[in-house]
Amino acid sequence: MPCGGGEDKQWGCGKCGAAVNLQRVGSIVRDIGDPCLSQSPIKVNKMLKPEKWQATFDSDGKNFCFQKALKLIVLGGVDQSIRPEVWEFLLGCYALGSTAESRRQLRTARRERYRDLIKQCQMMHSSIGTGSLAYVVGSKVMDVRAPSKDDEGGEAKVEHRQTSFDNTNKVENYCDRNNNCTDTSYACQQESSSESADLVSVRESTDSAAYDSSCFIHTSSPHDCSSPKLGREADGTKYVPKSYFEYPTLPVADLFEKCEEDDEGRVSDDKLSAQLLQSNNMGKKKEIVNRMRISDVPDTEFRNTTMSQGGTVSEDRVSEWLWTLHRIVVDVVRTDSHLEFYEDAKNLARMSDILAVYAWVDPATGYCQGMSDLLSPFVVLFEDNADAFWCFEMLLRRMRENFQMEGPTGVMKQLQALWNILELTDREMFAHLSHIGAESLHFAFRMLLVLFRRELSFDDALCMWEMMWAADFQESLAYNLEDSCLEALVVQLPRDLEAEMRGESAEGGGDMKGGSHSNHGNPEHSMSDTGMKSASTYHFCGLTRNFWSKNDRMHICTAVSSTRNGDDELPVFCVAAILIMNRQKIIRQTRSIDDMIKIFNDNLLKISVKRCIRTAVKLRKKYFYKVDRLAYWSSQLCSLGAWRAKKGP
Amino acid sequence: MAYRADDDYDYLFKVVLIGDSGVGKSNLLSRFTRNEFSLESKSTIGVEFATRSIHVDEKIVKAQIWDTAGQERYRAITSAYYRGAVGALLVYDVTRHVTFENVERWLKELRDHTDSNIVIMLVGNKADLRHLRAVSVEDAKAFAERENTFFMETSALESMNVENAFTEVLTQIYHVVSRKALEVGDDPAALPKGQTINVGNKDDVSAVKKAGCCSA
Repeated sequence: MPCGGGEDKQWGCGKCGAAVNLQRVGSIVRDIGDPCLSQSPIKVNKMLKPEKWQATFDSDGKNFCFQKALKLIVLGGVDQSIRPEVWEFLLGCYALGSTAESRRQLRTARRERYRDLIKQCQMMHSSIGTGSLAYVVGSKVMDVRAPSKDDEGGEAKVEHRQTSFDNTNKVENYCDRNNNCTDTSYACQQESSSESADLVSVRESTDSAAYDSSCFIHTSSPHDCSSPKLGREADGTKYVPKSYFEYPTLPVADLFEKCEEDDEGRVSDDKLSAQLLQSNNMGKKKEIVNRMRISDVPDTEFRNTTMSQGGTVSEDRVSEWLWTLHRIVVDVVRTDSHLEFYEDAKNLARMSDILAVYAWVDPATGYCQGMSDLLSPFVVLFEDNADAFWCFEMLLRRMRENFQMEGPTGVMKQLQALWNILELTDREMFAHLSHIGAESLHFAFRMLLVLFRRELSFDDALCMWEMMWAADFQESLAYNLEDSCLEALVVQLPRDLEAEMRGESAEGGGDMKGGSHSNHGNPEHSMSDTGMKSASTYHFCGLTRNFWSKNDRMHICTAVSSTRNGDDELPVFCVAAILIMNRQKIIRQTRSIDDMIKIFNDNLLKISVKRCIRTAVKLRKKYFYKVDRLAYWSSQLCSLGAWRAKKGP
Repeated sequence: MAYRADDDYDYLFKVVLIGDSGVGKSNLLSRFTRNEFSLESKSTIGVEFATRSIHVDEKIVKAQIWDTAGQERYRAITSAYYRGAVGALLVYDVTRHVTFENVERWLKELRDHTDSNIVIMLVGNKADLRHLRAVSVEDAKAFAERENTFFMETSALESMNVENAFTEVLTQIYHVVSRKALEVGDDPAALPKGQTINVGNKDDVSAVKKAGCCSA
């Protein structure tokens, strides 16, 4: 595979014009190779190679023998050069029967939607889409809170601030103001984002008495927003503090004043010079006054700003999102930071943007730790943020239950399933874990939550993912996932394409006969309803859900996994396989659940991806065989009992 | 600074590290138990722990220190690991005021799930970032005094006060336990999980001033 030096430029951020040709993207990705994936541990002979993959498509670009591809993937993964395109199919982003042209249109529509979402987010925080992180990220610094409550003078604060920038620039050179990153085609020339006070002040104004109008208005005031007096006093010229430029205009103001401040109202941090201070002062002053006036007049129209997509946005939601953005940045800077890829801060910003957009469209989930681990591979694999976003979103649809406010309920169900699986398939391990009091199986928590990202190397984890997805692939599942599409992500397509795709769905839907296992105890995924589904809904991800069927689906937002028990999901069997493959070590070396947690957390177990998948698939067969036998015998017992009861004593 | 064999100890104390995400809990732990610090450390998913034994009064005290995920929605899982803890380091980041604001909630969390006599130390980490300080020593001290906890500022990066913080907590627990052992005449072997520690006079645990403090 072509890989190695000289690719820095491409791995920077590419442009993402709306009409980037799908094939071109594919070929670019292929050419680049992957600096992080160069040493695939998988043997070359048994895996999905580009030639085999291309051979599964007909002249229109419809995939007519995906099953063959799946078999190869389960055996050894996907060649890295075709990984992005294969993953899109594995995750259900496209129907197998879709033509290359319809996929191109879908992709374009998705990218447009993503751009809209980026714009929405950008109105709330100007850093989004600029290639910079929302907060100053030094070696360990996540944000710089202005010491507004302290009795320090303005000058002292400026000094604080500048010191911090010097430091940051020196250490990481994160304060790159070149707007040449992926999303900048639609990013205004805004100052990048080193706002220190925004989040804090949103929070504080929420808490304070000054929260009588809109918190956005308060945060938009560029100085010391946390002062409760500000909203009332700042109506005259006296409000021109020396330290004004310490707090650049805060982006939340954009919600209310969309165009006003693009040129003079924005201050770039690296232009933080005395000269600029001088020349801009007057213009700024007016702006402050204007904003303050707005804030003094509580106006419902301002409080419920209508966004471009027609949804009403509450200020609570924006403020919550800003807090979420803060949490995102805290985690993004420490996600896969060992990869060279993320030494480029722009790539960190891509990750942060996607998580921020996700948190915006799915406020019930927001951001939860572990999500950045799941997203990172997509950021590395896909050049376009929109493509990475949609794949990530498809993955999360299967796992959303793990990341919602109530806690990781999906994983907890899976742990219960794991216990049942061990009981039926490996008595020795079951007995040992019972004996040492490890029934909670919490040691497996991390593996299931971030899908082995922490236990395996980056490359191995990607292999593991695609092998699991291939082994579990059913087109019907993708249909079901469509029902859990977030409303904000429904994409409308031209009618002719829709009609075309509906036709395809009917012909293409039938030829996939499930994955490599049967769907025991999981009737909603059985193939029998595929036909029904394809008649009433068409292709995946809500990408093509047509407009008129949208209304009666408004209520559907729950993840499909909420109805699942976890006992048919391959990741759970993979954990069981890992336990079994390390049986000797576990039985000899663990005497308590603490010991189990220790050997799992410190990655002291051997995990061979291929063996693990093979064993897991076998285990699943064994498990369902036993479940069936149990069901059979219990039904026999029942009828025997009934027969006896009938006969009387 | 002896790193001893695992099974050779007189006392085993369970200590938990809690606080908002990104304050440096995992690095405090790795600094204390392995003398390591990593800028590349990842967020903690679920719970982890590490151990280290130290000498206190010629006894070997083994600390089993649990590191927990900081995000709120994992609380249901992580709080299960508070059970049986006899000491806690409640960590905030001196450069992020919000992490200090949340200390109160963490404290409540801790007191809801552990014995009331647990030895708690408030720890302001990342004290090496002097120019970015957002929480003053005075504020933190005042809070610690009000809440009857110990207080120290640390830097896992510069290895400042990390040893002191953990040692102080472990020593305090040791004093509590050995005094209790004297009272009861018990064998002061490993402290069973969930055993109530009679700390006695609350003033003992609130000795904020006695604890060594930051170099700032």
